Amino acid sequence: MSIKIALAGNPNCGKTSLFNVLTGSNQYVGNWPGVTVEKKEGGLKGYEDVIIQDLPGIYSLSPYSPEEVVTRTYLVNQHPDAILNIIDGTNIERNLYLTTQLLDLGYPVVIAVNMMDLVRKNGDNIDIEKLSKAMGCPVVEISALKNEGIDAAVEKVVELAKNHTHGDAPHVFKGSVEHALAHIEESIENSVDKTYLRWYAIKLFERDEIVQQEVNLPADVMAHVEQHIRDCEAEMDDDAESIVADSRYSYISDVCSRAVKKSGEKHRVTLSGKIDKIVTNRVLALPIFAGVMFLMYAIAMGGYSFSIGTMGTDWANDVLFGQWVPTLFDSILTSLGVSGWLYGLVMDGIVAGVGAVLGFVPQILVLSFLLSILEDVGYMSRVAFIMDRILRKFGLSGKSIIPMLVATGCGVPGILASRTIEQENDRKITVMTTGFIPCGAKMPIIGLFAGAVFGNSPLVATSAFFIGVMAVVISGVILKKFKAFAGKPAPFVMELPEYHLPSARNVLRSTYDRGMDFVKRATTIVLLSSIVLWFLQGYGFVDGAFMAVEDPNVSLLAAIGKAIAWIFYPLGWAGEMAWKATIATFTGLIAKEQVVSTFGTLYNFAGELSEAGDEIWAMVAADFGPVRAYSFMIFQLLCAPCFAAMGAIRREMGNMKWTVGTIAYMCGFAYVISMIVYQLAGLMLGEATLSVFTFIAVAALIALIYLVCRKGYSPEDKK
Amino acid sequence: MGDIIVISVILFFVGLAVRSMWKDHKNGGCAGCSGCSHNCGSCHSACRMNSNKAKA
Repeated sequence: MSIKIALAGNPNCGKTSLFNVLTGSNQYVGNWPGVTVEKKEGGLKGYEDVIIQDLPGIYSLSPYSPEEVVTRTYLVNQHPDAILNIIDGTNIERNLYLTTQLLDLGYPVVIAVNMMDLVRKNGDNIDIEKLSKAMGCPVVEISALKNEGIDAAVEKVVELAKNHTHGDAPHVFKGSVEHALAHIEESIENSVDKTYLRWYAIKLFERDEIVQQEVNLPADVMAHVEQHIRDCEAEMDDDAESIVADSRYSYISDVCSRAVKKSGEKHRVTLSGKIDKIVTNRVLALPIFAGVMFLMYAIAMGGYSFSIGTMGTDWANDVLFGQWVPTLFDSILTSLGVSGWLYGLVMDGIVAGVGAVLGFVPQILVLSFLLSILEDVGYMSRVAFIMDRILRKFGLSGKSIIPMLVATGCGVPGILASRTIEQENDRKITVMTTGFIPCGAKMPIIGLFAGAVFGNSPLVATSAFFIGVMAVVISGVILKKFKAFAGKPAPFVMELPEYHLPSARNVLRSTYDRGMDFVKRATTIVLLSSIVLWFLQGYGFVDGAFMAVEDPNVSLLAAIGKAIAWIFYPLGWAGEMAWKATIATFTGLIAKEQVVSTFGTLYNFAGELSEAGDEIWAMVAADFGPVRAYSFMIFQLLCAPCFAAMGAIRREMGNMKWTVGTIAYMCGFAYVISMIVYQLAGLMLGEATLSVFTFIAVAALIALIYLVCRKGYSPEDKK
Repeated sequence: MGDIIVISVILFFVGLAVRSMWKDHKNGGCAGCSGCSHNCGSCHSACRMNSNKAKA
């Protein structure tokens, strides 16, 4: 029978990093709390039949949010053989609060004090012997990031799990509390598993509703228990939950005064604190954030001498997929003497479609690399803090930030991360708006227009990110004023991790994962879509007969596109590009990379590709003026996400009504913003003419301002 | 002959693409997801778990 060891600890204390080291797996590690929202399982390396369970981080065993429920349910109901409790050595007092609760459960526990490298660097000292004696369980120093002390921790926890040995729980409670607990234990000893008697008694003392329902005591026993609680509350002049919390913190404070020695003066400012004084400063925070994002996009997608992402993409588009690959395929197909239609399928369909997407891999890799560094050093946690301040001003929950940050990689986990938000109204708003943040799959769209139309301006790419953020904020403000979403925002408490040098392993792994997933999508879903698109564009009805067509304007694809292109006329999609842009928009629902792939297939189809191969993007640029291109880009960024993300929305919303509502809202919002941008900016820059749609755009802008500024529904006013 | 070779190669790669997408789907991942297949897997397994519970 296998041994189950649970990794438990506070959010962002390094559980997933340790899980990856212990199991050799490749779970996503984020330097902010709430990355793990579901438990994950893996075999312990070097041990047979030892299962490691990575649990979402929690601050206590009194669960409030869904991922905290996951951890508590597992620990209480799944009966692990031992718990490896990871605690952040730089913040030991707060982390030990959960430890005292875990010890109440009666499982063998080993405390792994993580981030000991930082503790030593700060000049602090933790007396492991004293801590171990005070907590009644083994304590081991580790650094998950530097792979130090992990073997010792593993050996100890496996030994304890095999022998089922555990020390005595620390005497956290005193006097009347212990007296009341003893009475409760006596009252319930026949109603619960005796192994967890102590834990159940404490939870009943706290009036934990979940435990009350689970134990389901007879009314007279419950009344007896309640009497003991009330007596204790009267004596201590406080409520039961606070009494328990105070007792735990008093005990922890006493333990830390003996076992932990902080160097320097009491309120010394760490290097992280000094950096935070600048990067989270009320005035400077936002400009610094904008500057960091601009620099990141400039390196990945700009047109400067240091823009290595653009250099790579230019080379991939012009040389690799512009010359080498087509030449190679051309010589192979010619030497094999394949038919014309098959030659067209490979060159105009597959090579053009897949190559158009793969050409952006260098920019994706550079962007992912830089994002991973920002995340790993701890800056993205500060971004959450900065954004929380802004969102809170508009009555929105700062908890929406974490899903937004996760969504910069992919919208699907971003939407899933919304389950950390307890309030249903705030969670729904987050699910409805997280898809606005430009994910990795939207990067080629940004790269294409920033490169082809705006001369690789990093301002365009940076603005794309901030348009996403603004869309989240504006939508949040608008939605929050409706009755269905009204209410006070959920409190957002987030610990800011210490800054540290980025781990090469984490950064490279994250970059590799994102890059490989992008390539995988290009060679699977984009490949299949390219073949279908080539067929639809290469065939059509001429004089009532179905046949291969030379002119793509008479193809099946053009017929479909032209039939629905009128919808987008107010957005400036007119003339030759209208049906192509419409088709690209709809294929983008399969996967957002497909937008660029579709352009690759559609514009390459005529076979007018220059030797350099880069003419295709010049053709796209010629069809789209700057304002039209920007408006098109905004629509693609904000409209309905890909099918996978729609599936995630469906799962998180839980019903079709909200799912359809979310997708309709996103499309409608994208349409309105895109129309306002095209009609008004186009009129000012001479790209659009005055028409009825100009007035509709002005009316839409006024309506938008009204929805933002109006006094919305307030439950307090109702009362 | 050339046509047969090229069609076979295309079918082979199409087969691989479909197989990969199907495997991702079966494992709880999704083809339309960059960098998150683990999270998708967790979510799908949770959905299945809830569904099984509901059935029971």
